Amino acid sequence: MLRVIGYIRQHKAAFIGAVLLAAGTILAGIGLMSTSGYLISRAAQRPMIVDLFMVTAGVRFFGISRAVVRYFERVVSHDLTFKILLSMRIGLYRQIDSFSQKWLMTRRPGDLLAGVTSDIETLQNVYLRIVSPIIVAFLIGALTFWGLTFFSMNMAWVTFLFFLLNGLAAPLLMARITRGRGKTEVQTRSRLKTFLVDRLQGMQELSWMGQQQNSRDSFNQMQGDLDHIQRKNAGISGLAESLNNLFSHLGMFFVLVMAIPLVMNGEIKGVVLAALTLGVLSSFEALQGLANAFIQYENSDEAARRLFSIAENKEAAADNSVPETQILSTIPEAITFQDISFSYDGVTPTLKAVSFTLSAGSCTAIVGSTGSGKSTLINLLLRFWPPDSGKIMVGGSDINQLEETSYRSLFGVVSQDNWIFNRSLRENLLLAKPEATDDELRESLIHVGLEHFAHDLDMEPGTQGMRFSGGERQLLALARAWLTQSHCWIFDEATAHLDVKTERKILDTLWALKGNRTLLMVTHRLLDMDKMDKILVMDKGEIVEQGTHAILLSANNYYARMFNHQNQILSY
Amino acid sequence: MENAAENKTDLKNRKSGMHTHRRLFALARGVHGFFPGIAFISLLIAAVVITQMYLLSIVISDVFLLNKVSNPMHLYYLIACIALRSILLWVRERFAQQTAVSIKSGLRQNLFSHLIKLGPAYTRTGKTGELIAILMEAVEKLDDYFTKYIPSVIHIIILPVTIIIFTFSIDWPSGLIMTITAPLILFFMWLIGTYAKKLTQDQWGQMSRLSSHFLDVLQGLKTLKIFGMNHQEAENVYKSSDDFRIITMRVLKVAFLSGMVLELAASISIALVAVQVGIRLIEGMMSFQPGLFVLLLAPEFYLPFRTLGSHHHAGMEGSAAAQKLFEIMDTQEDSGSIKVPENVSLSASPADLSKDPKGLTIHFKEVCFTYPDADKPVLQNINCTLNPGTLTALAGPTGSGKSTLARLLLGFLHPDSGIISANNYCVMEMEKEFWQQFIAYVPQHPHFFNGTILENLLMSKPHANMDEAEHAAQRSGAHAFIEQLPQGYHTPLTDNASRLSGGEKQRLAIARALLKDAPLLIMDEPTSSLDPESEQRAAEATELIANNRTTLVIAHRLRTVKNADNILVFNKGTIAETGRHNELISKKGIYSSYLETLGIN
Repeated sequence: MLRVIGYIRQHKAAFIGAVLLAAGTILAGIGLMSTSGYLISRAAQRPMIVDLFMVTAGVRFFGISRAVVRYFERVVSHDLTFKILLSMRIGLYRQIDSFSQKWLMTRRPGDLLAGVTSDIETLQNVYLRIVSPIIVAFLIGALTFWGLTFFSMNMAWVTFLFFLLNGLAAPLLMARITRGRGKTEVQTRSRLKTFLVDRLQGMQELSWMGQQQNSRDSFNQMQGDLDHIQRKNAGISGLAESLNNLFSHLGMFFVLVMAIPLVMNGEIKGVVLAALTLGVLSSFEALQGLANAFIQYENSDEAARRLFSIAENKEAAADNSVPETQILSTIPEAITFQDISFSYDGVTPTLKAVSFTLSAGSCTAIVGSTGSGKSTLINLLLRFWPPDSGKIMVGGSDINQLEETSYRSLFGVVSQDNWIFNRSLRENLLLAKPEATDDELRESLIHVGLEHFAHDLDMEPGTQGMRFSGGERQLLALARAWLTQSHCWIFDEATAHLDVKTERKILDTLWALKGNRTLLMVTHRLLDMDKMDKILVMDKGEIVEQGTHAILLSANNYYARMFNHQNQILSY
Repeated sequence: MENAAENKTDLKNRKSGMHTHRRLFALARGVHGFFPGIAFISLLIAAVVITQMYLLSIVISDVFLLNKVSNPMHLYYLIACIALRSILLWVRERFAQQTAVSIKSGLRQNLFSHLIKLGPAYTRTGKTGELIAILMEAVEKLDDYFTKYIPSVIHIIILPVTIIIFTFSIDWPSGLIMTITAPLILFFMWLIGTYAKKLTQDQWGQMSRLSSHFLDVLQGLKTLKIFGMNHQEAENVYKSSDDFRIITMRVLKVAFLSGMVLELAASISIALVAVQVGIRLIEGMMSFQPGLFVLLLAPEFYLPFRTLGSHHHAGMEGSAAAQKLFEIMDTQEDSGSIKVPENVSLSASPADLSKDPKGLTIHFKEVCFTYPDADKPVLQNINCTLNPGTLTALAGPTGSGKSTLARLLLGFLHPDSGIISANNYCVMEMEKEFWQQFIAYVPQHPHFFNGTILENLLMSKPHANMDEAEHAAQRSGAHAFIEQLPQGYHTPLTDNASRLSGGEKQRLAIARALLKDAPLLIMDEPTSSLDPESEQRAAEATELIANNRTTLVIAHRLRTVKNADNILVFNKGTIAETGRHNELISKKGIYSSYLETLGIN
């Protein structure tokens, strides 16, 4: 939570301004009511109209300034909220950027990141809903106390007591009641939700197995449990408003009762009595948002804890123990994997001492079923994380000693999870070559057979590239790879989940564009294998067979079995 | 032109918004005594507020002008009023919340029941998340609508009217000020409700798009890293967000202005009451106590307007949530026009459908189907017969209509025209739940419910015993791996059986279908290859399952089509060829050319 306040402190001027304006709004309210009270009391003594000139001016001034100050308060505080949001986003982006990709990928990144963004959204309101109400309550409380000391010390203390009751005791009481009762409600609700997810996802089975009535009955019963709890809890949230009302008016009442004897023995002038009572009542307005602030605090605290536990995760921090200084200047002759071993969890090995060499300009395929460790090899090669043991050598240097950006620029990657950003086609392509002209971009699209998009570089692909079909996404990734002028192309299950025709088109485009680049293709579909210089067959983290397509088929072993099974499948 | 179109949709949106409010109010009216109850409590609150302020003005005026408390009981009454007011506020809230619980509960039950009726065609994968959000969160959002928004709407009618009537009886000029300013304030609120609200909402909508843009960047971080653009992107995020903040603030500054006018109207009115009362006091035209009484009532008069202003948001949110919810409620099951030929009977009894021990005779006659959001039909004039005791395989490219045919037969979809009949009884005329009793289904991606393996198996045949379940599992090849699990048949499955492999799930799904022993079996084979061992077992199970019933398989295995009694070859929504594998191969038509492109001879 303190970390969030740290973000707020980055914008000190706006913060102080917003708080002062918020306090000003309430002060103007107090001013309006007490000058009004004084005005009519004084008027009742029937002075000359001129004597009341100042007071009437005061009433009008406070009346107008209340609205005006409130306006500026809203403007400044919303601006501040945006600024806080912006700082938190940038801070978080930098953090996650520095994380190792291994940590991110073992944690269902989609869910994690969606959670992170929604947590940030909860936290952007910390200023408006929590910090500001608390500070304002303090300020107004102190000022009211100070103002009342001019009349009577006791009166000041009593008001202070009611500020405490109203601003602290009541919200704490509320938070305590809701916490205990809220828990059972949350549990019941999440049980209901789990049930719903299960039944909606299984709607097909639910239908043919005749479970309709059964499901309805179970649902109604669980809903009944929830109703029972909610009925019992009804009115708790209403208690906040009710208590606020009670303590505000009681506070005013006791000030009045204490003032009566003081007026009667002349210590306080009778003419200020109405002003005093009305002023005290208005000052309690400062406490209205507090009950909500406490409830908000619980939510925000949870969000903050989640968010910063991620941001401060040591495990996630990328391990860059080796200083990376070397910049790759020449095109490497070969890429060599030397005894690479790797495990995600430190227990079950994903790769067991794998060694092989990719010579420049050659075509290599890595094949095997899911979970055989194929894609892990690619992530190691792209330096998303280091191997547990062994080295990857490029042109005579360990890749860990090469400067990251220049090293990665060697590769053009077309994988299953190419991300198409939700911005224009042009911007998506420019990622690959920031200095490219529109003509170059169009050329790249024509090369990969996406000429129908070439005339409209401004088209927006929608969230997660929705407006592109699966095949178009892969071709777009290929266009990006082509733009980078990289020397080694990596195809990581690039045609998985595509129909046969599209698969063919993508492979044909690849062969047409490949030129003399090195190609590394990871796949579980054995297509165009006769074009490969070498095929590595992987099973359970080891290379079990290697050679050309013809050799492997005649060996009549694991590879041949895979190939036969594949040919039994009608994928049309 | 464009503008006109925009205005039109705008108007439509606003109208449907009004409509939603009306439906929500109707729901609240449906709960007996809700409106009168809230109105009565509001009236009591108004009475207490007026009494409290009257007593307060008496006490202050006594002390100020007479230097005494004329009746000490006034103080006790005053404190009683204060307590009573708080209690009434709480009672109102509790009453409203209990009503909200009943409404929400009824809504949720209706929604779930309606979803079951709409069936899997509506709740298809990818939509589940959205539906859950509506059933859980959107329904819960109605809470504030019923507990805050509606009561404050009622309150805004009752309290100000009561206070105005009172004020007129004491001091008509102040009453006049209130009578004039109240509609003025309502007018400004309406203005905010239309113009400024739309402005702010658009802007907040854009703001949330910005946040999804941020999510987009985070999710694409790996791609950015590959291109070495990750550091530069931080500047991009900063710049686009900051530009956006500046534009948004420009809009908000205007939008907040109308809020200021509203606030100004209220506080200037209070000032106006104070000043004109003051002037008449000086001139001796009225006495102090009624003057103070009116001044005390003034803020109470304007309070409900402010409360409604702050609860307006709850109203907007509630109605937005309700709109999605009513959309589901208003979705009807699709039903095409059916012309039943004379030889097809309309009503069937269970005996009519289970008389043949070798299964059902299924006829498709002139069946057409188009998905609601598509421009081309997926199935055109389908005519085919599935005979008892035979296995029919569907072959053809993706999107040629194979799975649509299966879904029609399952009753998940309803044909636009044509007839599907079973033993000459029209399937579309049967209650879905009745018809589905006669079907067992093995989907491509089977779902397993939270519960033990045994519970999942028994769902397909509730009164079966352990032995029957085990027998089915043995025949499908599932028994072996189930026995290997530490808890055997009592192993709990969670999260759609995520702990089981693809092959194991497949075998379990077949066991479930075998256990039901229905006269019609529909199976959708997996498209991708499982591990070599599972491939073998799945193929054996498919052959086994086909015995003694009518079987329809969407085939993805060469072995399946070779063994099929009949193959229906689909092409672009029509059945292009039919026959056995060997017949079709020698025919050298579409089927054989399919197999050729796959490199199979």
